[in-house]
Amino acid sequence: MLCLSNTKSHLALILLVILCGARITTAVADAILTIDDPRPIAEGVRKLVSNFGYVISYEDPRYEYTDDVEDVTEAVRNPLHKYAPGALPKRVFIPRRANFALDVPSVSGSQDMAAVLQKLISMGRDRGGHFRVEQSGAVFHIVPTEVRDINGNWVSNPSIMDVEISIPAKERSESEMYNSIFEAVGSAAHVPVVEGNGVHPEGIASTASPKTYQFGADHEVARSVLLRMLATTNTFHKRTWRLLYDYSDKKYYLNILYVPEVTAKTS
Amino acid sequence: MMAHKWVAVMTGLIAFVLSIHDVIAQETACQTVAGNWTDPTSGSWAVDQGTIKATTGAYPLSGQLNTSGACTGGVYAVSGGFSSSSGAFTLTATWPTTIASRPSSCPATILYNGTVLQPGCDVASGSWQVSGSGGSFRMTKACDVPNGETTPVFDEWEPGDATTAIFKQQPTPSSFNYGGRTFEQTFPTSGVDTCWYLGSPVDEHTVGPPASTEVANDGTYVDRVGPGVTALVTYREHNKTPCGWTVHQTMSIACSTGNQVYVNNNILSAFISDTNVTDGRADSALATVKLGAPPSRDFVEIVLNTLFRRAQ
Repeated sequence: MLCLSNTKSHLALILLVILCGARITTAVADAILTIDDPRPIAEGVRKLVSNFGYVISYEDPRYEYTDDVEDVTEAVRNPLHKYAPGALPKRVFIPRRANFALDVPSVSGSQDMAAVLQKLISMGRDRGGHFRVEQSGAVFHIVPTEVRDINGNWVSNPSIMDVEISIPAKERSESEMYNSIFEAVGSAAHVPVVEGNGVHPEGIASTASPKTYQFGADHEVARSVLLRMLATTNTFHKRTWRLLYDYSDKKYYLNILYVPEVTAKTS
Repeated sequence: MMAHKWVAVMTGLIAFVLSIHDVIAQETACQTVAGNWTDPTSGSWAVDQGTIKATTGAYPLSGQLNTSGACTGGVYAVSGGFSSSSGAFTLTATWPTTIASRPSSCPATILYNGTVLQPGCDVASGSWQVSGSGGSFRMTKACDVPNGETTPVFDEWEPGDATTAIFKQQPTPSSFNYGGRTFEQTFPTSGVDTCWYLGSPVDEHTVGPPASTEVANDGTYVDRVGPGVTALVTYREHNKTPCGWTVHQTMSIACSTGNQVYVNNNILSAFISDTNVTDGRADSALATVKLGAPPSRDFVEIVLNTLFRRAQ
């Protein structure tokens, strides 16, 4: 949905903000993105993708410090009566919730978006994780750099998508392409990666047999491989991802996000 | 004069062959040319498509051409052939022998060689020949918008992902072959995901992916619906089951004038219990698979390992 454009018209901006609902409120010449979420940077990215139509990926840091996570087991799970004593399911941890407001000026190009993203990652730096912005033209990646260790000290937390991977070239379905990337990244970064939302096959197709593509990688940065794969398998819609870390299981879930066409955006 | 005609015929043939080649390169082709077409001179071609001839592999065409322009009021008998493997056709309009007095402005025969074009199969282009002269044409017809679709039928479980059902259906009326036309699914309104919780590493599933596909040559298409293995495992491990999601699918056909919606609110659903997965499409088709016993870590790993091995 078109929620914001790069228009400098106050009237148009106000109208668009109304269309966007209550989560975005206006200042005089720009907008305030109000964020209240366990993953505030990821949520900010999601809103910017939705509002401006840029491809922006996000990757969680690998949380270690107990103060950076929250036990929500009692709040989210069903009653435990069906479990035998001693066979209770694992506890559910999520990143600790945070909130802030991000001032988003009108965005008329990639440089403006880069500035907004720099401002976004500077928010809430006292906990959760530290990030950097990678830019390639109009494509951005929010990449983790540091996280607090079990003692609460900030330590390096390199992105698992920075690793170089190799995948033997052959015909693969989209599912097989994802699995080959998960396997290669998991093996190189020593952190399991599994499918989240939007990865497993869904939707209409002419036949039950999945389409296949010639696909492989030779010592290529994992982030580039995934970006290339998404562009290969869907030429109609731009897509990006949210790589979310599960503190309970110590693994990443890859969630695929569709990027809307925002006609008023320039890049 | 003979040489001139020969060049015109050859030009037409080359264009015909090239148009066939272009379409063969695609996965599917328009399966029908039947309908009321309007040519560049506002002539109206009413084209009927017969049943395929085993001897030629082509569909015979018949109908009528009502001309306009210089030959206003001309009524021609139309015959021809159509190849469903390429979408290419020939149409020959002949002045009826029963009408002796043919105006000089009306040619004896009019020949159209063309191809029905995707995505909507409501535009055709090619070359025409009349009395030794010729040129190119582009003609159009009203888009064949379905009035709905047949009740989905469960076809199979997705190989490598036993949680995802593949449903098969076709646009209606099913007497018309929509093969080769492009259909799209969108999700303009959000559904509900009762498995998701704030902070979950698996994103909320309240819309499906936007997707488009050409309908298969037999006029059918499939739809994959299901939660996916990881969602099944994660939500069982987190004791969220029984839970599931529903999304609201809108189906449209891509016409040359823009998309036309023919199904407004297909409910797609996936439901995970402790022992089963049930996927549904259009509220009327459900598929259930038994995937194990009440959750335990051992069972989950068995399921994962089994499915992962199958996907290799």
